[in-house]
This record gives sequence, C-alpha cells and structure tokens, in this order.
Amino acid sequence: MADGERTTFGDLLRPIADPPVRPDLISLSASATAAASAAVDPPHGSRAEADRLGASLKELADADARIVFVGDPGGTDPRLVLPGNAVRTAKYSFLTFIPRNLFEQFRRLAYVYFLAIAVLNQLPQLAVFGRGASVLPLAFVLLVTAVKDAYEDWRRHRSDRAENGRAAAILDPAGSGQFRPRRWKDLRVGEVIKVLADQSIPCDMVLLATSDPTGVAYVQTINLDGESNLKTRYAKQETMSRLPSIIAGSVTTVIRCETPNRNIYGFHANLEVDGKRVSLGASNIILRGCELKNTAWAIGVAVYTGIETKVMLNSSGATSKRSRLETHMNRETLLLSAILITLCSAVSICNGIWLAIHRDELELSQYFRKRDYSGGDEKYYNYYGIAMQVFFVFLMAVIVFQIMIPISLYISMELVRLGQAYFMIRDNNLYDESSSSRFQCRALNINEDLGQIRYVFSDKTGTLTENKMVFQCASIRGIDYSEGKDPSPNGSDVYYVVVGDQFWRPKMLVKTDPKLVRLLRSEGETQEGKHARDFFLALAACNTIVPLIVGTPDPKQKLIDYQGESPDEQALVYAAAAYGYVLIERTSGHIVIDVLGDRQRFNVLGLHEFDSDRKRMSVIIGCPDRTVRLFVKGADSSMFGVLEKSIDLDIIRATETNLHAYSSMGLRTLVVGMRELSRNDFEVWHSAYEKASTALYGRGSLLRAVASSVENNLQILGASGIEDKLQQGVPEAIKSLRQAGLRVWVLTGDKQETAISIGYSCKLLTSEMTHIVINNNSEAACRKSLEDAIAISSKFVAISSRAQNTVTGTGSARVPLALIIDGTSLVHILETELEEKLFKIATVCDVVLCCRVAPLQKAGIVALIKKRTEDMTLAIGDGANDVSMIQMADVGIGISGQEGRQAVMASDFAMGQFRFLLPLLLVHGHWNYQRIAYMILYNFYRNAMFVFIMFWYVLYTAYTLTTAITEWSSVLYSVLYTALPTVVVGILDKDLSRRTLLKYPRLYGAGQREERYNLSLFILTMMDAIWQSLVVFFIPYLAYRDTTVDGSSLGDLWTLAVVTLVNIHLAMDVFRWNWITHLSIWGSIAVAVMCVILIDSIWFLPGYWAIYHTMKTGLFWLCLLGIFAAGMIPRFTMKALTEYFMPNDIQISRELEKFGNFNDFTDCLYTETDIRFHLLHSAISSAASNNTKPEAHPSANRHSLPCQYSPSIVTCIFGGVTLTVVSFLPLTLPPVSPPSPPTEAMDDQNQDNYGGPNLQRSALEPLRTRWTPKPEQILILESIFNSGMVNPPKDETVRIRKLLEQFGSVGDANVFYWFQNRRSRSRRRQRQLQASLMADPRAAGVVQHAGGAATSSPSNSPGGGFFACSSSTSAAASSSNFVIDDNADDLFSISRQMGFMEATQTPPPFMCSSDVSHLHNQPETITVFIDGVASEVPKGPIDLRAAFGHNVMLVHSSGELLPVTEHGILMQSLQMGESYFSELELKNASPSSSMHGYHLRGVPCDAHQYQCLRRHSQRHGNAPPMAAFAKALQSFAPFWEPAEVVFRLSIWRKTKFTVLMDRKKPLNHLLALLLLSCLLSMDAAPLSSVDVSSLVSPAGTFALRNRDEAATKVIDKETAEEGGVSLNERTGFELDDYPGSGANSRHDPKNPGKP
Amino acid sequence: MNSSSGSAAGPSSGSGDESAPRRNSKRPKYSKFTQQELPACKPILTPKWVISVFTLVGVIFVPIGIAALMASNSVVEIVDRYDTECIPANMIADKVAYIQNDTINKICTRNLTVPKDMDQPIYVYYQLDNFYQNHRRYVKSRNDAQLKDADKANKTSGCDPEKTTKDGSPIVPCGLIAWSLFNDTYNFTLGNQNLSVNKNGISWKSDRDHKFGKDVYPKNFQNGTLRGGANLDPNKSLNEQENLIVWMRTAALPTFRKLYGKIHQDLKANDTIMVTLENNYNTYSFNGKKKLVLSTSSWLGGKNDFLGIAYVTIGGLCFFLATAFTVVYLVKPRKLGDPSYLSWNRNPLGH
Repeated sequence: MADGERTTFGDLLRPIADPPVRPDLISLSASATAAASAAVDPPHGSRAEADRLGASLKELADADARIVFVGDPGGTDPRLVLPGNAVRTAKYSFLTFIPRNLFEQFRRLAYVYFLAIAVLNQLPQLAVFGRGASVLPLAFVLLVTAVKDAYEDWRRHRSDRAENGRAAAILDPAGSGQFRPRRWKDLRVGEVIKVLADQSIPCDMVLLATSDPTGVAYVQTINLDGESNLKTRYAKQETMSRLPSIIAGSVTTVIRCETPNRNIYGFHANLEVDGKRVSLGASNIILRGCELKNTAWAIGVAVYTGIETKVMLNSSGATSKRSRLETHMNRETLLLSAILITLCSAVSICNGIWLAIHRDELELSQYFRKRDYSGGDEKYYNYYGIAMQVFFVFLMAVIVFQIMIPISLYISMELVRLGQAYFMIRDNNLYDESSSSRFQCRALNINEDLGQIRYVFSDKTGTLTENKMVFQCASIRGIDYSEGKDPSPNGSDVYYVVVGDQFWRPKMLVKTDPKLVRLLRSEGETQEGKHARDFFLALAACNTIVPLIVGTPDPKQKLIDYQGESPDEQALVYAAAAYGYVLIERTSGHIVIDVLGDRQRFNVLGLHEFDSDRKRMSVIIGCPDRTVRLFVKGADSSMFGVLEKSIDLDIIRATETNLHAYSSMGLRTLVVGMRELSRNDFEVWHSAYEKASTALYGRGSLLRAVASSVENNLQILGASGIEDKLQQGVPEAIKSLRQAGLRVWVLTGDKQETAISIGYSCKLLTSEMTHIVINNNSEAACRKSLEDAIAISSKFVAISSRAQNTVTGTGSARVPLALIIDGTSLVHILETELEEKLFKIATVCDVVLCCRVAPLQKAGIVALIKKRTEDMTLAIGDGANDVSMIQMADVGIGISGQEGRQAVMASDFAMGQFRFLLPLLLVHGHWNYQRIAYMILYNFYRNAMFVFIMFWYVLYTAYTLTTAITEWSSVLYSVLYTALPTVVVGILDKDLSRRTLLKYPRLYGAGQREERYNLSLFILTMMDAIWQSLVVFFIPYLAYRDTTVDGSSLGDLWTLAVVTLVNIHLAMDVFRWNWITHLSIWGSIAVAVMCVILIDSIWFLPGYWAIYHTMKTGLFWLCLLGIFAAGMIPRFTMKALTEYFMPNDIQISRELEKFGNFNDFTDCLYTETDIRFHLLHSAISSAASNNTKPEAHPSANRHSLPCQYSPSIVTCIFGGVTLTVVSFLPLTLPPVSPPSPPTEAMDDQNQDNYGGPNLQRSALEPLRTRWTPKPEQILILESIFNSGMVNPPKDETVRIRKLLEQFGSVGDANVFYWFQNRRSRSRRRQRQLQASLMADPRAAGVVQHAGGAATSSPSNSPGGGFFACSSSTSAAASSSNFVIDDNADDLFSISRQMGFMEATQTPPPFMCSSDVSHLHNQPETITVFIDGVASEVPKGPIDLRAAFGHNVMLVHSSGELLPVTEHGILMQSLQMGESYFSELELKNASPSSSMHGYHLRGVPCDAHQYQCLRRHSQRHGNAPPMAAFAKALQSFAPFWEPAEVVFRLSIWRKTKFTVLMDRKKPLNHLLALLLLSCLLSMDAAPLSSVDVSSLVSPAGTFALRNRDEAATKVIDKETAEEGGVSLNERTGFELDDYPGSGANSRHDPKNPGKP
Repeated sequence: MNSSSGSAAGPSSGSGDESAPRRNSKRPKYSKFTQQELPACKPILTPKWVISVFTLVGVIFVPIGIAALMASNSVVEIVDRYDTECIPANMIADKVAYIQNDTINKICTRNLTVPKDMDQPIYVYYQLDNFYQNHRRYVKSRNDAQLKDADKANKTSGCDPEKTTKDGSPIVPCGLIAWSLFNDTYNFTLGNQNLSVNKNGISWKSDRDHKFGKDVYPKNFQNGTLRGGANLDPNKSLNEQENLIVWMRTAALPTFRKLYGKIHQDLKANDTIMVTLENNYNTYSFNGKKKLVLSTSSWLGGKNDFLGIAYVTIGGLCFFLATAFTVVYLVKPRKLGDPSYLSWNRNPLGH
C-alpha cells in the first residue's frame, strides 16, 4: 500500500502513469476502457512472464474459468483432467533414471565431445588409446554425477512421500457430514477440507468458514513469500451461514475460478450458492504452503491441487545464466579448435606426403610392411591408400590432441564456482544479523561476473532503506506537527488502553508531538481539534491492518501487534494508537477503535483496495453517530485531484508546502481525505458497489470505477510523513561503489522529491552536482528536454575539460551531472527512438535517478544499457516490483528483506543488506573474477603445452601419432596430475586481501577493464605454452639424440617434465601460499611421479621399468633441471619486468600489503582523536601555566564548560592542528542546558549536568549507575561522530570504549547510548536549523574562517616541547576570526551523513522541461571544513587567492585538487560538509616533481605519505596527519609525549623514516629509536644543522632534517642544500609557505607566516 | 528449485519460539578457513628476489654445464658408417637386390683407428638412421603376453602383420618388431688378437626377468615368405636372447643406437681395430644408414655436448639478466608499495 512502491503484479502491466485525475472525467466507462486497454495493449518491454502473471488480473471469462462443485469432486469440470494433489519434485524413477540422467548429463556439450572422441577411438583403424583409457574419464565423471543425482533424487522422493502422505481432514463424500483423515495425495479438486490451527494447508482452497464468527482466518505465508507477518483471509458470510447445508450437500455451491496461474497475490473467482453470486478475491483463498494461525479451524474447498497450486507453479529452478567470462572463453575455445584442426591437418598432410615419398620403400621397410603375408593372399594390412590414410591420420590426430580443448576445464570451473559459492555463503561479512539470513548463491555460473559489473541498478525502498516505516510527522489541515518527542522506554507517557484490569499498549512506540496530543485531548470542541480527531480516525480506520493481542510476561500488560501487508499502514496505525486512536479489533464487517479511552465500533461498509492506477485506497465507515464517512488515503498526486478545491484551497496549499518539506527530508508522504456521505450518496454508492462486487465480468474495473466515482470532492484532512530509514552503511557503500567506477542508478517508485532527498542522504547525489531533471507528459516535450539536456551536458563537459586544461593540462575531471527522470517521461522515451538520446545523456551523467517508475520500466532501463553497451549490469531489489529488473540484468541480486521472497526467488544471489554489495563485488567479485580468469588461461596453457609436446614428437615418428608419453599418463594428465592445483588456486588464491580491496575500491576496475582475461593475454599465454613445449621437447631430444634411449624412458621424462613445469608455472603465479596450496601443488607433482612409477611397474606395458632405469642416470635429472630453468626464464623475466616497471594497481597494492607500514597507521581509526586530545590537553596545561585569564567567550557562558578554560584561548602552532583545537571545543561540546544532556543514557533520575565537581565524583562512582563523560571523552566521541561514524556497530563500540577508558571508566552501553542520543539530538537541531535557514539563510550562524589572517604569534612554551601556545586574547584576535553566533553552537555537529542540509541548499536543479532550461548558481552559503575548521563559504566560485593568498590551492580530503582558474577562482563549488585542506600550489611542477611534490599541512612529504594521509583524513574526517605516525611511534616508545613526537616527526623526512619503522626489521627499528631518543635528548634547544643521517647511517638508508635546517632553507632558498637526490626532489617546491595554515612550526616563531 | 519445493514440502515451521535457536545456528561459523584467512605467505618479486634467483640459477648452471662439457669431452667415440662401404661396387646400383640375395657373401672388413685412449668398458653399438622404430604400426606390433608366458603362445593379437605362418600356426615371438630383428654381426680384432665382445647383460634385467619368459622358445620364427631380420635360436629361451630383448625395447627416435655388446679391454690411442662384419640387415630399401659405434661412457652417458652448452648458455643468460636487472633497478628505481603509483594517484584528477 506504500504509495507506488509496493505493487502487485498488476503494476507490471502498466507504468505508473501519473495523469491528474479529474473527478468529472471519472466515469465508469472511461476507466473500464482504460483498464481494458491496459490489459490488452502489450506494454513496452513486456515479457511473457509478466503477461502470464498479469493474466490473472484480467477479468474472468467463462471460457477459461474452472468450475468447481463444492463437495462434489466428480462433478467438477468434466472437461478437464485435473491432477491429483500429489506433488512430485523428484526427477527420476527407477526405470527412467539411467536414460534420463544420461540425457541430462549429455546436454553439456563438453560431454558430447568427450563421447565423440571416445567413440572415434573405438574404431579399430583409429584405436589410439586402449579402450579403457579412452572411456574411463568420461565414465568416471558420468558415474559420479549420476550417483550425486541419484542421491539428491532419492531425498526428493523421500520428501515427496512424506509430503504426499500427510493427513488432511476431508469431508466424507458419502454425505455423512463427517471429516475423515485422508492422505494429501488423494485430495481432489472440489473436496471440502478442514484445517486446524498451526496445520499446513494441503492445497489452494477457497475459504468457506472459519472458527471466527466473522469468517476471519489468519495465515502465515512464510513458506510462500517469506513474509512472517500474519495475513488475514476471509470466508464469505454467505458460505459461513450456509455451512451446515453445504456440508450436508443440500445446496449446490459452485465456484468459478480462473485457471491455475503463478500469481500468488491475485485470485479471481465467484461463488454461487443458493442462486446467489458472491465474488471471491485474493483474500478468500488460502494457498498451499501456508499455515493457519490464531484460528481454531477453517473449512475450505480445494480449487487447485498438486502441481497446479500456486506454490508449485512458482517453484522454478535456479536461473541459468552464462557468465561474460565464459562467453569470452568460448571465443578462445574456438581459437583453440582452430589450432587443433591446424595441428591435425598438418600431421595428416605431412603423413600423406611422407607416404607418397616413401611409397616404393614401404613394402620392404621393416617398420612399415604394407602387406600381411600370413594369410597367403598377401592383403594389405592396415593400409588403405594414401587418401584414406590421410583421413584416418587426421581423425587419429583429433583423438590424440583432443585435450587441446580443455574439457576438464568445464568440470573444474564448476567445482571452483561451487567452492567460491561456499566461501561466499560462509562469509561472515555477508551474514545479516537482523534478518538472520546468509548470503545465497542461487545461480552458480556467474560468480565471476560479480567482478566485472559496471552498472548497478538499485531499488530504493527496502533496498537502500530498511522498509521499516516510522511515522514522523503530520500536517493536519495545513498545520505542521513535527515536533515529535521520543517516548521514554519505561512508557510513562505511552498511551494505554485499559481493558478490564489489563493494560494494552501498541507494540511499537511512536514519537508524539505534545502539542498535538494536547490538542486531541482538549475538551473544547474546536475546529482544529475536530480535524485532528478526524485525521487520526482516518489513520486508524482506513487500512487493512489486523490487531493481534500478544501477551507479555506481565499478565496485566498486553501488547497490540498490528499485522498487515503494508509497512506504511502499520506505521500509520501505530501512530494513531500513540495519539490515542487504538485499533483494537477488526473483522470483515466492523472495526473497534479505542478513541481516547472510549471504545467505539465502526461498521466497515465498503473498502476499496489500493491499486496502482488510483494510487489510493478508501474505506466507507458507518460511525456510531450514524453518519457514513468515506476516508481516503493515497499518494498526493492522486489525492490532490480528488480534493474539494473550492473551499480548502489555502489548506491544500499549506499542506502542499508541508508535503514538500517532508519529502525533502526523505519522508514518504500520504494525503488523507474525508467526505461525509449523504444518505443519497451512500445509497447510490452502495448499489453500485454491490453490483460491481458481485459482477461476473470485469469486476476489477467495475470496482475501480465505483471507487473513483465516490472518491471525489474530498475534504482534506492532512498528510503524514513516514520515515523509511536508510539501511546501515548505505551512503558509505554507494560512495565506495562509485569510487570503484560503478555507476549506481536508483530506480524507485517514489516521487521525485523523496527520491532526490534519499539520493542526498545516501550520498548518491551531492550538492556539487548539476541536476538535469526530465519530467514531461508528452513525447515532444521529452524530446526537447533530452536535447536540452544533451546540450547542457556537452557544455559542461567542454567547460570542465577547458578548466582542466588550464589547471593541470591533463585529466578529465568535470562537474558531476545527475539525471533525474520520472516514469511518465520514460513512457515516452523507452522503446522509441528517443531511447538513444536518453542513453547518451544517461551515460554522460554520473548519477541517474529514476522516480515513479513501474516495474517493467525498471527492466526497460536495464535493457537500455544492456542493449547498447558491453558493460555488465547488476540489479538489486527486494520486492516483487523488482523482479523484472532482476531478471533482465546480467546479475540479479535479491534483498531478503521485508517485502517477501519474490525478488529472492528471481535473483541470482540473495543477501540481507544493500551494503553487502561492497564485500560481494569489491572482494568476492574481484577474487572470483581473477581466479576464474587465471584458471581459464592456465588450463588453456596447460593443455596446449601438452598437445604441443606430443605434436613435436609426432614430427619424429613419420607423422604416425605415436606418443612417447603413455596413454595412461596422457589421460591422467589433465584429470589427476594437474587438475587439483588449479581448482585449489581457483577457490583459494587471493591476489589482495579483503581489507585492501575495500580500502581501494578502484582496484575493482581490473575486472571492468577485463584486465585478467583478454585476447592478448591469451595469445601471450599460448606463446609461452609453445615456448615451454619446445623446451620440454627439445632439451631431452637433443640430449638423447643418438643414444640407446627407448621411447618409454623419454616419454617418462617428458611426462615428469611437463607436469612439474606446469605446476611450477602455477606456483609462480600463486599470490598466497597457504598449506592447502602447498599441499595441492607439491602433492600433484608427487602424485604424478608416483603414477608414472606405478604405470612403469606394470609388466605388460611397453614402458616396464623404464622410469627406474632413467632415474638412475644423471642425464635425466640434468634434463629436468634444464627444462625448468629454460622453460621459466622468459616468463619469470617478463613477470619481473612488468611487475617492477609497469606495475598495475593490483601489484602495487600487493606490495603495499606486504611492505606498506602505513597500513598499520592509517587503519588505526581513532588515533588522531586521541592525539588531538593530547595536544589540546598539553596546550591547555601550558596555557594554564602561563597563567592566562580565561577569555569570556560568548559561547562559553552558554555552555558553562566543565573545564576552567575557554577553548579559544589556546593556540598551538602546528600545521593545521591549532585551528582544529580551537574550533572544536565551542562547536561540538554539547550544550548543558536542558532538555537533553548528552548523558541521559543510563538513568533519568540523576539529571545533573557535568560540572567540574561532578566530574570528580563520577569518576569514582561505579560505572553502572551513571556515566558522566569527561570533556576529553566528549571530544573524542564528538570527533568520532563528526567523522561520520554516526551509528557504530558493536565491535566499533568496543573499540571506542577502550579508547575512552584511557580517560575514565566507561561502559559499552554508555557509548552506545551516547551515540543514540547524539544522533537524535543532531537530527532535532538540524530541523530547527533548517527552519531558521529557510527563514533566512544569512541569519544562521556564520562562522567564517578567515584563513588568510590566521597567523598567530606563538611563543616557545617551556613545558610542552616545541609547540607554542600564546595567551588567549591576542591569539584569538590575531589568529582567527571567529564569529560564533548563538544559533551556531551545534552547527557543525550536525551529521554530514544526514544529508538534510544539503537538500535545502542544493542549487535549484536544471529544469529541462519543455520550456525552461537555464543554469545558474545562487549565492548561498555552505559549510565546509577547511583545514579542519568549519567554515561558511559562499556556494559557487570562490576567489581562493583573495581568501587564502597566493599560490594556495584547496585539496579535497579525497586528495583531489580542486581546479582553479588562472585568476585564483575556484572552478567548482565546494561541497557541503566535506573537508578540504589548503595547500601550497605546486609551482613549476614538472611531471616528475608533481609525482613527488606533495605538501601536507605545510610539511613536505612524499607521495606515499601524502596519499596515505589524504585517505586517512578522508576516512576519519579532519585529522591532523602527523598524529597517526606519532601514535604508531608512541607505541614503540611510550615514554614520549605524543605531542612531542608529532612535532619531531613533523620536521623529519618521513620517507626515510618509514624504512626504519618496518617492524620486520628489528635492527632498523632499534636504530630509529636510538636516533629519536638522541634527537629528543637535545630537548628544546634548537638543533644544530647536523645531518644526523650522515652520522648514524652510513648507508644512507634514511635522512633526517631538523627544523633549523628547514627554516634556513625557507629563508634562503639558494643555500639550502640537501643530502640525497630524492630529498631534493621532494622538497624542491617547498620554497614558500602559505599563510592560513595556522603558521608552521618550522618557521621562526617570531616571524610567522612569511619568511 | 530446492528451496521452493522444500518450502512447499517442508515441515511446519516458523513459530517464534522455534526460530530463535535457528537464528543462532544460521550464522556461518567462524573459522580461518571459511573466512579465507588462512595464514599464508605472499611472495612478491622484489628486485632482491629477482636478482638472487637469476644469480643462483647462474651459479648452479654454469658449473654444471662446464662439468657436463668436460664429461662429454672425456668420452671417446668411434663412429663408422659401413652400409655404403660394405657393398660390392657392382651392386651399388641395386642395393636392395644385393642385400636380399642370400647367396652373396656379406662379410665385410673395416679398420677403425682409436683416436684417444679408451678405457674399458667400451660399448659397442650399432646405430640405425631413418629407421622408424617409433612408427605407429611398428610399435604396436607385438604381444607381451606371448613373450612372457609359454602357455600364451597362441596369443598373437596385435601382432599384425606378422602373426601367424601361412598355415595359421602362431609365430613366437610374433609381430613386426621381433620379425625385424637386427642381424648384422661384428667381430673385432686388435692387431691379431681377437677382441671379445661380451653380449651378456646388454639388456635390462627387468626385461629379462619379467617381460621375456624363461620357458618361451621361438617357434615358426622367420619362416615366412619375407624375412625381416635375424633368426633366433629355437633352443634358447627368449629371456636369454638378449639381442632380441634390446631390439624390442623400441627406440624413441628414428635415429637410434642399440647396444651390441661390451668390450672389456682398454684401447690405446692410434690402435687400429679391424672389424669383420656381416652386412645382413636391409636398410637399403628405406634409405636407412647403418653405423658401428664404439664408445666409452661418462657419468653423463655418451658423447653429447648439447647439455653442457645448454647449461652454460642458460647460466650465462641468467648472469646477464641478473646484471641487467641490477643496472635497470639502479637506473630506474621504484619504491615498492608506493601508493602514488596507483593509477588513480598518478593522475589524481582523472577518473
């Protein structure tokens, strides 16, 4: 019922067109024809599947109806032979097993090839191999598969037997009126069945009666669609009342129902009893596989049995797709076939030529002897003339060289995929705790496709969001009530219903707005109050929710659990209950609502169910006051058309405003309307309704028409806003996916505003993006918009490429574009020639958001991409409306979430959460792709090499296909000698660790670019194979030429050489050696040796004892050794060269994994927070020792900070760190003022805030009672929160707790609750702020960071090492210009993840509707973090030079430099909430120095560090970069003050230092420590200009610089001379410092800023 | 398919109480194996490794190569092609007729000069060129069962076209291989002293013991229309007919040597050996060559420089590569594991 998102299969038929429905146009005939045309016209992109599903929604015609006589199975439809209820999932029977199983197996082409070769080999003329050797492998494979199939089938037989043998109570047909137990399989259509509570339903049956007097039955459909909530099904009153006579058979009851179909959500039938016709719908049938719950019994009549039941019709097998790699593999297989044929032809032709040349000699030559003289008639022996001989030789060559086509590859690929699937299923990271669902591999052939995806099409509801709806706010008659307050968990203000001595309360608690609560409960009958009451009555009544009363441990307390099919409705009913309108009971005829303590019964006179054409539902209620009211709720687009506009225009306008606000907050909106029906109106409606609902034909459209006729002239009651929370980790996942080069498209049924705001909150859209919006109603308009859009996008591309050229000369970064298109436009675009244009624009855009799309359109969009590109597509969704898209895409992923199992059933893979896409694609996809790709190439190589060796030998046997290698070895070669290692490597090898792959999402590109498997790699591999085969053949050949060697000995040598060589080859390419890899590779070689020995121990084989003889000779071993070396040298050399000089990303990342110590640093999540605190602390203490008077900061009063200092008094001089410290305290310390101190978590009685004394006390108190966070802890928590971890998972919580424990005891729960509170607080703040911003953006707090002025006058602090702290007043005044408005206190604690502010501050999107197309930037302001300081900057171009001074660039925290014009104007707008760092421009940046020339916070560093730290700060917010190093260093030398270390480090050349920091080299490490301590012992005294490195490290492995040297360098560029080439290179540009970095410690403190 | 049919057929499930324990069990059990986190070593081809591997291979291969060359050089080998020489001048035009004519005396004398001292044992080989002992129809034409077991004398399957005599009685040993047994004989005299050739122990012991039966005697051998080669003494069991055993271990290549016997006597340089040979074997019909080879042996076998040269070449190449890599690494160093080389960092603005 959720507007548009939750759909039935009916939606598949028709795109959600969104025509404004004018009430006067709604007439019966009009909508009937509309429906008819919808049913008849095949919609675009329709598929047979959808047609079939949709067919059930067609009106029931008599011709294709099934007629069921209740209680009379014999009389049921004699035209048809109906199947019994026996089900049969087993495939085979005893008799059919062998032929059918063989047939199934030989459907694999590989087996047919196998068989053909084996058959060829049986011909006596061609018998190359012995019979056993040729048939054995095939027979073995067939046998194993057959045994496996037989076992599986036996289990299916067993379960079938159990299923068919279950007992059901069936009405005795003899007429005794008794129910007798009978087995399920004997059940027939028409029989009457009684099902008891908790029993399974044996077949699809129409309910006749239930134990409930109103005819309600509850069923659980978990086996059917995975939904665990109870569904209500109704027995018709007509049959309920006549049950005894029906049972007795005294009345004839006939059901006409549609023919069996797969639609489990639809059923059309009518029932004729006593001449009266009753219509039956989906709510009157219970399906096989369901269970009866909460109902004592139910009686029904079987309508579909056995294989015709919906569940059986829906049980389709796993989808079978073919992976991209396999398709490509076939291309190479063809190539190999060509090679094979070439080889065979070459051999046969040579043979022919040889025969022709030696024609005359053959008769007498001893080794040929054409004739057989023994018979007397001197016939030819095995000689059929040259032509035939050539032909036979060709066939024999095919047999001998057959393994050129690696048949075993197909089998090992299946094994490998099975293994990969096993590991994917077993991956803990893909396990969803909340739904306790594992990853599922439903398709086994496309594992490797996961590594090559380029487009991701995602559903929104349930996929990006949780689909757990929570009512957030309401607009009642235009008045907004959104100040919801969280109910306290102990429930003091929760609304209860008192029933007898019991308290009933709703199971789910909803925030309530106290104002609204007061309004509702106010006694006086105000107009406002009345509307509010009507509104909630509508919410409570207008739905199909069933309340269930659930017991709790407390016998006096019961919970009301609302069960229903739509989560939106559930949310609304819970909301109504929270406000005092508690739905207590629902039957088909009436509902009972507890209205503010007063139980009232409402008669449900009619209910128009939701359908996606109307997009609304309505219910007609007979109220206790004898009025009849119509309540309607629905999507705003459909509701505004049917509202009474004349009176309520103002209210409608106000509601529209509210709705807009709600949807821009990402809420799902519904509009509620009401109309009081007059007697006359009601009568008219009632008769029409009666007529329509019993109509035989076209009932659906009739009902729709009736609904439309009554749903008009509504009085608007209000609108609701329901939050659909984002799933955990979605923004991060989307960000990473986009980094990985995937294009994420969101296709949603939601409306545009909601879609856009969700787009913002999940980081799909960012404020820097330019939006192109297309929403039109006609084809011409669409065409125009598309053309405009193309024009704009090309302009943008041009602009940005120009910009790039001016800034860097290279690169292709550009203004990101976002395309937003709606379903109505897609109707006109898809499947027309406009598609091409859409494709063009869509591929240019970075983000595509399609809203209001129908299921089939989703598939259409996927098809749009699939048709036009080679790129792989992935669709992910959770609902029935995503099925078509999932099936269309190359890879379909189903989310096993709230919306049932339809998507999962159709998918190739199923998982619990959207964010699992990251590990699935980036990790498993990457692995799978690289493994399979390598495996295929290796298998080709392996087999080709073997074939080539045999081929070379054939050249020396007069082209007669003798093989020196024994036939057994050649059979076992690919099966036993070399098979296992490839499988093991294919399953287990990992080129990169999970962590690296997740850390560098761009590594995923390897799969997209098909780097691991392509034609050139194939050719290279084949060339390698030829080289190696030449080596393997010719080294022994030349070594054994002119000796007594016999064929078998040489054959054994070749066998061992080739087996060992291919295994060494594999071993060289293995990335990760674990014990299994070792075992398989070395084990395979050992097995091969043993097999060769074994074969040579069989006396009747020609090679008897040969291996023993040869192994005794030195020649044998020397040959082997020589073969290995000569064979591997080219490959090894190539590998070494490419890996070193042309390293690809994977190679570098591997090195990073192995050698990059920075991994350890950057992965230390909270280090910088920790250090930051230390800095602050030291700074503060030193400031205190300076006896500074605390500055009375404006904000300090409000906050009444717990510490005796004000934050802005301290200025430490560290590149960038200073300002962070200063800005952090006032901005993020939570206000103490009520209502919500940050520590309300554990209990409520102690409402003390954390003043200074309190701090002392709480530290002593046990944790359990109350936790009062210390300021340090708050600081840490805040920075973690601000760094983006809004909702830390459990393990993170533990980590945070451990970190916090350094400053005082704290528990996990404290941390958990702190984050919860913090989250809700920031959300509230944000809303306030938003309101104020909307009023006047300028009035909000403006915090300007005037970077250019941020030069302080630091002094050398005596205690704190080198960092200087100055007194507050001067520093604050001179360094930074902080204007902190009162409103701005929490400005920066607003989570950037929330994305709400972006939404409001987005520049207006480009409207590309038919007439408007313009482009402008509004001078709004946004908040960004520059060097860790939150700054308000105008949106749009910024004059960097004016703001920061010359030569300063801004670098985004991702490490990307922002493009600037030559006048220092920023090309692109800064991005809301992101972190930037001011950097010195790289002057005279030559290509080489730009690689090394990085400048980090004024500290030069090398590229490695730069990137590491960039990434680091990107991940963890605005972190001082040195901190991570310092932390790591500190762990080695705990006696150092971190601040000191930071400082020391900041003056070091850290490149060289990393060498020292290698933990694996203890000696270096020790040296580093020595050095450091040596340095530190010099204490505060300025270091002399000694190059310490020259003293300590003669090898020059590292170099140190001290600050004076640096300063000298800065002051005098010419004289600065450095030791070490690389040093010069790296510091070459560092000739100038820039103001705004908060001064740099390397400069003379007295002369900050400029040298 | 299983999941859905299972759901239809599955037992009743789904009550809240039951699902709770199931929840726990559904989580994949953690183990290093299932999470693919087995401890592993991750070799990377660092310059250090590359250079040391090449150097190591060089260090190993060059000495071996030199040793092999020395071994090969120490072998003294006398090769004498006699099939062209041992033919009367008048028969040169029709060699086949010459060889097929039993009435012509085939005895021929050759003088060989010993180039260097030859230490015993001196191996006497005959070498056939262009004789495809590995020809498909030739290799297959034997029956091992018949050779081993006297009771299976009738088993001649696979021996075509030399299976039975005209009257159908089986030939033992049957098949083309046995039929074409080499039948030239050599007698050596040094000065006027007869050099005895030891023809025992020239075949593999394994063949004598297990492949050729003690009680299997030749039957109906070489009495067909066409004579292929040597006749066998019908009173000697097969396992004693070592020349047959040697012959039946078919050669791998069309040019091959077979051991004829051993001379247990040292020969001095410039000794002249007179070989009296019977030129019986027909190689003229297929342009084959016959050579007599006298050779000493080393640990590496006979005289063959190839392996030594190959080893020295490989070793030298490896040394060269090691040097080349060292130079290249020095000239163009790259820091390992430097993220700035990552493609997206090399071009930070690019996408």
